[in-house]
Amino acid sequence: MVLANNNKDTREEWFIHLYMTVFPDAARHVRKMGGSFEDAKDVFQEAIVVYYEKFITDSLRIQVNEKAYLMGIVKHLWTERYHEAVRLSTLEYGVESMEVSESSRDYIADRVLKFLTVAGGKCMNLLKAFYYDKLSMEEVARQFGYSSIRSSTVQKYKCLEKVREVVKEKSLTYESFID
Amino acid sequence: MKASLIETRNIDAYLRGTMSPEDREHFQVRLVSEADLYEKVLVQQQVQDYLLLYARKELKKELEVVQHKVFQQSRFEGFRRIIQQIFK
Repeated sequence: MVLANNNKDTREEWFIHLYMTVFPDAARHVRKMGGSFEDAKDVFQEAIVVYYEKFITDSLRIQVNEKAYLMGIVKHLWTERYHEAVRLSTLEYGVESMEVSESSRDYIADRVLKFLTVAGGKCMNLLKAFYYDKLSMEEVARQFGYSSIRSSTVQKYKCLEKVREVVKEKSLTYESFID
Repeated sequence: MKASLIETRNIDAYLRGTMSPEDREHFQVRLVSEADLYEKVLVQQQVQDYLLLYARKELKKELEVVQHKVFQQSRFEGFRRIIQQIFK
């Protein structure tokens, strides 16, 4: 099954297909390696994100063995997760200051992202469709109801400009709040 | 297109590496002398990072819906039994 006409509905069908065909093997692998049902669900979700991002770049559209490819990602992510758990359990003191500055940065990023989601949702969705889902300008125009490619292109740059202004303003606000 | 939108388009092309070599060279010269443009490039780079975070969060929301369906809806009963066997 391939993902044709990438939109929310076709993606859902494709993801269901991936659960039906690959999740049982992914679950068996995670179980064999000592993981739980919850672990299997988490790892599989992460794996689909990775697979989707690879799939929407043209290079993977010719990929023939979907199941083997997705299972490869699952195994890789599971191994990574295991090593990360070991690393965290052996982490010693002395990295506290680094962790503090990391968390302030995360705090700012989190607040800015929340603001963008609430206040700039329409723009973020349009930019997502174009840059992340890699839809053509024709498809973006169709899905977002623009009359022409030109108007959706203009809207794309207006949105970039708007989001850029918000990011600039909000980053400064939250930084000064932390200081 | 308005001048400011053309500039935004140019910054986008610069960040995504889709500018022609000549335009890129010219743009880099401007970046050194125009602090305002340089700042816009930096923030627009951040916009790309935020966009990736946003898109992944949205995709995960879609996957949560799918996961809920396959583990709750009656039409996926057979699938669920297979998974229950694995973790019993």
